[in-house]
Amino acid sequence: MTKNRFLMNLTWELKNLFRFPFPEILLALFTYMVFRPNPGLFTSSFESLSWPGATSYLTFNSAYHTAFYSVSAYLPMAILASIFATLVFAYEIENGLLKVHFSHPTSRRAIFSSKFLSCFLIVFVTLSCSLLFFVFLYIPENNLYLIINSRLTLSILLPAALESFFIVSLTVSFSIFSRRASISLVGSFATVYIIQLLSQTENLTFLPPAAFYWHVEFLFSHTGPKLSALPNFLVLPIVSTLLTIISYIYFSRRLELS
Amino acid sequence: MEALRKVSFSVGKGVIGLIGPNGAGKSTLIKILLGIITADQGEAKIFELDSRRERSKIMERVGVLHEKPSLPSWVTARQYLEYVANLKRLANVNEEIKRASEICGLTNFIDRRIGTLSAGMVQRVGLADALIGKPELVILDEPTANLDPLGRFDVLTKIKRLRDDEDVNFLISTHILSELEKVCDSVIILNEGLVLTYGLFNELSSKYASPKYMLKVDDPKKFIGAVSKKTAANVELKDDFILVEVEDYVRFIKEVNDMVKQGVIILEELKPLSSTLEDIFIEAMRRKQM
Repeated sequence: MTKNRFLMNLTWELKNLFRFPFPEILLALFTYMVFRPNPGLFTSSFESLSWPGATSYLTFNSAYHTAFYSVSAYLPMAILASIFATLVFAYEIENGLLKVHFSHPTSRRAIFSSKFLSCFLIVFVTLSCSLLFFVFLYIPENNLYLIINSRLTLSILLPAALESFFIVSLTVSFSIFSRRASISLVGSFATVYIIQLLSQTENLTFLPPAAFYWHVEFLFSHTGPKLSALPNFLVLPIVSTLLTIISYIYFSRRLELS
Repeated sequence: MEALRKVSFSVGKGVIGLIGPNGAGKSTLIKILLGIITADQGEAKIFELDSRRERSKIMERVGVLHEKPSLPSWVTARQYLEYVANLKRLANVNEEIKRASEICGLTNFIDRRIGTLSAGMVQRVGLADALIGKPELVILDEPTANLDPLGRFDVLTKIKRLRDDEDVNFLISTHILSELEKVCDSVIILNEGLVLTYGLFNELSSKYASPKYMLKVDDPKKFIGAVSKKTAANVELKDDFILVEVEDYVRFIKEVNDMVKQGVIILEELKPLSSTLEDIFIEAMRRKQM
């Protein structure tokens, strides 16, 4: 059986990124977030709720906490994603390693996909771990419900995936188009930070990190999906997808190496 | 900026030398052939395969060593070669790594991290990368850069052996013409983005380089004064020897014979010198400027 070159590339890129001390990174992230205030908005008693009501309430509660910690984790994850994207794209373009990759029998599509996915997976796993940790730390009831309620797990993993996708698509695009490690590292983080400032100071709630609350409103509201939240919810996935497609086309068809 | 213009050539098997002054477009040509950059016009093909659209298929049959190769510093040479061998879908990965590392003199360093190796050893890892899987064509950009004299000799010997024993073809871009002429069968000369000339080394030698003779006579100054400018284009005194670049070797031999018969000189030694790649290159460049 012939080995899949995409999987070989993905394994290679993951090994590359796993040079980073992940236990220490997670510990630093936990320490940073443990000092964040607990929103503690939903404290009603379970006794008055039916089984579906309790499930729905816990999912919403969990999703809300996830959104809250997603906002806290936004900048640390942006730093992490900037480093990873720079390492696998801009640094390799700059120092000629990508030229060597292109001289092996593997397509540009496979190289891009494996690099992008490796960045995404690591950011996603790191973010999910820290979100799971905090949601369960502050809502102990979830420990029980996680086993029996897949929607609750989804309320944590889906926002984590959307946030990771946005941050990684932005940093990867910056990294590919800048082609310089230093510009990529500083520039991509600065862009993410500026977006955060705009979101907070100009009250542009469709921008992250404020936009993460729309995920809760649209997907996990205990009163049912709010269609009014749909336009704001869609902004991030659409922007992320567009950035990824543009980067992919540029990398696989237009990128020329000196 | 236009790096290459109207480049069109096809070459046969063996070792092909790609030479030219700095900025001639040698590395650009290699990158176009490998599909790393795209030509604005025209097409580049290797084995009749389009270098951009069918790059993966080409790379299954081609090995490449770039100039000053940048390799991942965080893995050992073995891990890196394993990755390359797997990408090439080789059946016998360990045997291939052993073979390539033996050819490139890497055996003692194979389990060391690439980041800890010297520039010369990294060059050897890059060479092993190019040779793994017995490719039909190996493209080498400055293959002996960073190598010590012994390493250079070793690499050239291995190139010859691979060409003769395993029928591997090479396209070698280098500035060190004296090394290239020891191994190359044909030559492509590039200048300012144009192919100045290409062909078999022997053909180019007879086309571009004037025959040269080395003489030892009793009175060199007398000989230099007596030899006709029509037969000898350039006469140079070097230590005890006279180097003569001959325009018409039949007339030159006749003239020397006459001088000896008439007692003008006493000829102690006369031997033809084979023309070098440098002679061909300089003459091709000179004719271009005329």
